[in-house]
Amino acid sequence: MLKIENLSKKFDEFEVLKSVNIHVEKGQIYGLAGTNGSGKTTIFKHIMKIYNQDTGNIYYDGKNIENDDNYFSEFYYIQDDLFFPHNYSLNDLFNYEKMLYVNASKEKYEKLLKYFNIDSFKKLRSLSKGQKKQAAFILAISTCPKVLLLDEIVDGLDAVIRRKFWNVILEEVMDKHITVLISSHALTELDNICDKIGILHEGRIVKEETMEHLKENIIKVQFAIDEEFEMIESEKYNVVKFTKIGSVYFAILKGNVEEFKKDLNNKYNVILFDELSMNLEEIFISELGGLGYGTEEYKA
Amino acid sequence: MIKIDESNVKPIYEQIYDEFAKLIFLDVLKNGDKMPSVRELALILHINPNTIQKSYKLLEKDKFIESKKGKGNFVSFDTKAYNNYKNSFKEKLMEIIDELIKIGIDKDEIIKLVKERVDNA
Repeated sequence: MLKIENLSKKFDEFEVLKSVNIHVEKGQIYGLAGTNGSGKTTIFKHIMKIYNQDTGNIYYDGKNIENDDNYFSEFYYIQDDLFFPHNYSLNDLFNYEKMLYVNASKEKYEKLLKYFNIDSFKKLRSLSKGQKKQAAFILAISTCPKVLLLDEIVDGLDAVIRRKFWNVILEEVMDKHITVLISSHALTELDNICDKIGILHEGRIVKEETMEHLKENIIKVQFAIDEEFEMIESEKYNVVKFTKIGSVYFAILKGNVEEFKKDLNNKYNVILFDELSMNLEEIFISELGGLGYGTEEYKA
Repeated sequence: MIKIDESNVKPIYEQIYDEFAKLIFLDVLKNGDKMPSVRELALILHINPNTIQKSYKLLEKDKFIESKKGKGNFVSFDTKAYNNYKNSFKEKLMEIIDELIKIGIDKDEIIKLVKERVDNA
């Protein structure tokens, strides 16, 4: 439903996006996880035509957005750097947005005000950073968007408010089948909520997979062997990382773990074998470590 | 009601399956009882609704629950499910016995322990 194809962008000589491909299905919660400065915000800004790409295309419902601005009323983008018109209260801003978004709902707006407990008469500039985020979120949901673009919306909020944000997102996805593209560094939260994950690094999507596939294909194992050991190899699995502490070995494997276990048992006397699940954060670190990101060591 | 263990190697959909299977088996959820809706559970557990849907599909396939169009999911537990569930526990016991042998516990001792437990049950 939202498809980004080979999107590339240079700012002066700096390549910010390098042939980015993203595929979001209707009703999906898509998590964009990326290293700092990887280009997450730049992607959002291309979807909203704040930037124009050098090459590549963005499609919404099969239509190239280049020649069509109708989608704007169905999208809502909350920027990481929030900006509100001077002297506006939340009420003022909602009344203004009602004119831009045909589906905006006063009823929903009031429901959300109650849920978040925000003073809608107060000037937005006098709100705290967290309150501003809530105000922006209330506005976004009140316009009843079909596609919600959220740039680090939950980052920097307290745990209670974050939970409220996720509740609203889940409710809207389940009830109205909205589509959500969300970037965040809160990977433990994306972990259980997202259907699909794209990992962005240095302007490239280094991995795009459904959460289910992502988890099935990578696993951490620890095992102990009481004889001379050399790591086994096969085409059925790929050892991403391998370390040893005493006679216990740790490995991160991609591919078929059962085959690895079988091969290991056939060749060695395995006295211990544990499979440990990997959460999104660990997968993220492991994937990027494979690209040499964050592998430096520090010694005091 | 349902516990999710983030550090468990089992995928979340399987954990939800296991938790419900246990509740049904223990008769906490009885035949004909309504299951929580996918939506309710997604909000309580903060888990993607598709994950929960997947667990429900599996529970339905294994004949723990039945889906009634427009009404929701209901506990509908038959002997086939019962037997499958029992077998999965037998496998667990086998694994534990393997572990006991591995760490060097004497065969006779294992048999003695099992017998004692069964006799006292």
